[in-house]
Amino acid sequence: MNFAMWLLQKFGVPERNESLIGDLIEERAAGRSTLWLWGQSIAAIADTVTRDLRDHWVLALRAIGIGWAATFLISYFWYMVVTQGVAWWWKLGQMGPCGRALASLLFPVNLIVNLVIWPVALGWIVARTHGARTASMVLGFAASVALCAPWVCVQCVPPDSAEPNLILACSGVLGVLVGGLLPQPRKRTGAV
Amino acid sequence: MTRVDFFHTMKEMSKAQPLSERELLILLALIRLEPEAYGVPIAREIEARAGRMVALSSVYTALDRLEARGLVKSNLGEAASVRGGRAKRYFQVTAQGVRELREMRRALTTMWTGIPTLEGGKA
Repeated sequence: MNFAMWLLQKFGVPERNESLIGDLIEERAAGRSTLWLWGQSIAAIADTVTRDLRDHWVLALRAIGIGWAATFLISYFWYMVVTQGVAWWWKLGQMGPCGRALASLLFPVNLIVNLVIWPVALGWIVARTHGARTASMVLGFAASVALCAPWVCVQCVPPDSAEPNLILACSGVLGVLVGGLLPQPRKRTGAV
Repeated sequence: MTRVDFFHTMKEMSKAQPLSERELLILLALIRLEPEAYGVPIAREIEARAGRMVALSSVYTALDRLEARGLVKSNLGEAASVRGGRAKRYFQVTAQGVRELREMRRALTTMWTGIPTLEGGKA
């Protein structure tokens, strides 16, 4: 299946998707361009998201709230327990060669966790807690991450340069979207 | 007014809203295409006759809205291999939809008649 249609299946309205995707396949076979197909798919996703965010703004606020609460809880746990714990252990001078080798891995591990694992986990959490309107809620939270991440990064990380914060912000948004795509969208109940 | 009354009134008001231009075009296209009215021909019909490009998703959005208002009804056809094994969703205008269209035409015709600026072909 075309990537655009796969995205539509993930982010669109499940009840409407089958007919819409069928129509798109039919039109593509009739000679419509790839650009047209992408335009239609993006329009369908944008349409669904706009309607959901407008009609279910309380749910959208809840998704953003849950996402950010999870962000702060996870960050706090990771910083206090893992990063500070290893630093404290290091200071005590009780580390053997094995421990020092493990501690030297902390920086790359920290990088991978912050750039990849946490954003994906956050997207997954938001998607799982808002199964019926996954697409809109994940995109709403990703938009809030895109807006707030540079500011949060400046607050949390020593601002040596703008690039690391920008990378963190971009990877955050991307990770949230990937994490949001992992769970299967649930069937909606009631009106679409 | 209680909370329940308020939401009931709002719901009734949304049902009584006049048809938008897109909804009107879609309803007219449906009547022209029946019984073969589904997403692709509806969009093509509007493009060919009214010269308006419409996204397929916005056709379905409008049709969902019209169905919720009881102006159209839909049923699923059989799955076709040319559509990747997916079924067509056929739409039909209900009696209430036809009444709404007649009322809309009456209102528009009344408004249109007797305006000298709109008579003839010059702006």
